[in-house]
Amino acid sequence: MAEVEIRAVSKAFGQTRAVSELSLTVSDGEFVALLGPTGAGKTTTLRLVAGLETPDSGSIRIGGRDMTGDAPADRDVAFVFQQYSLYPHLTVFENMAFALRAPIRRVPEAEIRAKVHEVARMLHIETKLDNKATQLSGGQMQRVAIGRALVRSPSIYLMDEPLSSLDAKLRGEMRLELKRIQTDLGATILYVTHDQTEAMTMASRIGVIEAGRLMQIGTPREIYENPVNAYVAARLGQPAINLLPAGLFAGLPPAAKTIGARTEHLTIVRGGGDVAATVTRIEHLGDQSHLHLDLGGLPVVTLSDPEANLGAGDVVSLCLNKPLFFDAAGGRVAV
Amino acid sequence: MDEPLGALDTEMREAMIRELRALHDRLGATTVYVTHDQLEAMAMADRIAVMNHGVVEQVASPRDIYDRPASLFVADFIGSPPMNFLPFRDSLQAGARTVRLGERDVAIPAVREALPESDLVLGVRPEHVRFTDQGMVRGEVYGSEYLGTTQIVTVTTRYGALKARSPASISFRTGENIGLDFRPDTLSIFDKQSGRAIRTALYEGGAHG
Repeated sequence: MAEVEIRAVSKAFGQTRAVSELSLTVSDGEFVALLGPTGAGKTTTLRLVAGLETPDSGSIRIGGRDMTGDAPADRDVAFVFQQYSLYPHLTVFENMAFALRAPIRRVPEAEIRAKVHEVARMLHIETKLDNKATQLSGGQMQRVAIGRALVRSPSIYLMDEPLSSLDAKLRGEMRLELKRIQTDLGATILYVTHDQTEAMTMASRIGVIEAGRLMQIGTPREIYENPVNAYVAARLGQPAINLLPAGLFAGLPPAAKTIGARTEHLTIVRGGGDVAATVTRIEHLGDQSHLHLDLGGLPVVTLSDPEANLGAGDVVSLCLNKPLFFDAAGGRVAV
Repeated sequence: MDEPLGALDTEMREAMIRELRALHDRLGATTVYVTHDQLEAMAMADRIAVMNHGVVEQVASPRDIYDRPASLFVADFIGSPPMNFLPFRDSLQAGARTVRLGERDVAIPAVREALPESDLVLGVRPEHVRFTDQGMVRGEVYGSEYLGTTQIVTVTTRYGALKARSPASISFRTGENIGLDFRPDTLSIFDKQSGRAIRTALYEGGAHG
């Protein structure tokens, strides 16, 4: 494993700027997640590190060496693609052994066998080693794709939404497993996802990316509790943060144009609060119930206390409890 | 509709869930929707049919499916993280208000059927686990997953790993010894052999499909 440094990298495809002046250092043994919507430049960043794309400007350093112009094979990186990309005519074992058998590596056969069996055991696919790779369920194919990267000990693992095609239950289990494997191996991982839960639960640091720019990087708690702007604030949190015009409440900082109120920033009382709102709907999602409110024509969604016994049409009162404030440009206003 | 939102990313899926439901409310069109995604089912459906190996295990409103699961399979499948299951052995009398779990009596909703001594399972949702020093079950903190407003705390106990949802403001040390308590009126009891939920006062509150 090694430290990976992305220095002021830009990449455009025709008129489209995919990545702009992006700088990011992934320390040895660190798990960094890049979080952003489709088209934000996450996958391009990974492909730039892997050497599948060449940057227009800036440099990529791996383990202290400039690798910007080097071919992918010379960079010692392992890539897990979103669409498993397994060889359909090979068995699970042969798929996992494939990279180790590359002529430039010359790994002895006995060592290959030992390594593949070790990783297969870690991923709970040791009984599937003789199956054709395509005769597996989606979850098992994804494990093989991850296993194919883990048999190697590269400088960095690059993972492009590796869990996105799994069902919710399996995704939850794989999150825990991947995090445990990463901790056990001390692996360096740069992980791309649009799923905030994956980023929050696995990453040591999250980089929030939007339109090719890195907006903020920090621990999950820093990003959640201390976002630099309204865009970052909206990326994390379920239900999403409510962005409300400052005029609705009194006594705010003068620069504040927008209030960012998460569930924990809103207290709901029957009467005597700052502003009145009407309950429009209660959405029972199981582990949490979303309370949909109408606040003078604006929708507000917060978590509903199961004991509160509210119903559609009820009028409640809202109090703010240390919310976030943003200025006209969306930047954070310090309190 | 056969998993029409399966390939979308999270944000787009959430927006489409609201649009599809609004469209349905406007058109009133009869819709059968197939999905493996519990959030889609819970957020959109009037009723959910939970299927397992070609058998419908329960048909009910999202709320009943979640609060009053008819079988172990339904209880395990719906909910993220899923319901905690604590195996125990006991006999049940109609009207009983407690079950014997290890050396402690655990309060449960009143039992409505009698059962000879058999292998049973106590079902507890993560959000109904509370941390108290006098808890029913003791264990060691294995780890916690930060989710912003809440966190999921995994605790290793003699009944296996139990998950609890707690406010993110409380901090736990890995390895810390803590006590767990369960909210009595929400607990389910299952027959381990058949997976069937034992009839209790909890199951009288809902309309069954």
